Amino acid sequence: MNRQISSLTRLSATLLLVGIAAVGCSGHNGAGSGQAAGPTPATQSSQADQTAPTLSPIPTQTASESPAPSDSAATSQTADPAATPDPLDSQLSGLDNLLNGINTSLSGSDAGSAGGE
Amino acid sequence: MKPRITALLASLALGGSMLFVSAGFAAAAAPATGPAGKGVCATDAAAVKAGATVEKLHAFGDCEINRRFATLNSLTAKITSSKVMTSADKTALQSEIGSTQAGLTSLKATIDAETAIPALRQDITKIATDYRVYLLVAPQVHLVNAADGVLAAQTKFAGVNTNLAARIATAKAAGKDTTAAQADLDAMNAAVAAAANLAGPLPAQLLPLTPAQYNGGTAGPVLTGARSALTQARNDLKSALADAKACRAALKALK
Repeated sequence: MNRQISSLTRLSATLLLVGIAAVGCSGHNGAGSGQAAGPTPATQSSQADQTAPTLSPIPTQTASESPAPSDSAATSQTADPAATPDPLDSQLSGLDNLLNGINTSLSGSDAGSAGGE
Repeated sequence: MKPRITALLASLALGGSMLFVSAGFAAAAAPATGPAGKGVCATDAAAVKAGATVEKLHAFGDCEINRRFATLNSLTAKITSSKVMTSADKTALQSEIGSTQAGLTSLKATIDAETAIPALRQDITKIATDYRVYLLVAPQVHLVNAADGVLAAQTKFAGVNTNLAARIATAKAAGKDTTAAQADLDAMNAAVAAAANLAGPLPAQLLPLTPAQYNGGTAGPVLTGARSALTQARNDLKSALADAKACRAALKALK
């Protein structure tokens, strides 16, 4: 009986470890509190207007899972212009990438790259 | 002892199943690969050249068809993953690729069943002439993707225009001379419009092209014209991007 209890305990411990590992892996999806401190380019790219930096860059789901930032922290974030990326940067960077894609397609369409027919 | 073993086996089974699930995701994300290059069938071609037999011709024909399948798969992946291609263009190209794959599959069966060398030679020639995977289908996919990319850029430039126009208005309201910034913004918009005018009509011209039209000499000039128009459109967009950056720099200089 004791042996059965012991093995059940081990099984439970193993399941717990596997569960912790799974939770640890899911933390890399951006829901971890480590990413809550600053705005990311992805969140900025869709915020073309000037008021964007004053809005919370944290998705609602993340906000509910991490401690709410204090008012003073939010104020210091918006007060420092150097820490606020210009939304135009991400727009122009996106266009750069789009132009690269067009270049790649044009190269691929070249008859010289044809497989020989 | 038995319960210990049972517990150990249960743990291993659970951990192992999780590993398999993870590996499954990794495998699903891996891109499809295959022999698609021009030199893939060089050995088979040389063997036929050295002395054609039914077996050698079968091998050469199968190789040429298989590398086209690989190319068509990679084109399908490009269409599927494209973030700029319209859904209508995706549907049209995927349909064309589907019918090309079906035709090549049927031709492969014909080649594999053929036992006469002259007939085999004729069938193998059809791999290129009836489907034009490399001279027509692949350029169609790339050029339509490029044209849709130019039109997608037009939408993005509209956002840049809104942003820069607002900044110019703010600077103007503050009494700054925004002439240079406005000129840059106007140049940007003109270049984007020129690019969109060049690219806009191309998908409708490219998508209906057929291998028969290519063989008849009418599709080639359309492809060449589209390539040339898209090169010009690409240059226009480059210029527009430079104008946008110049506009921003001019506005920064006012501060």
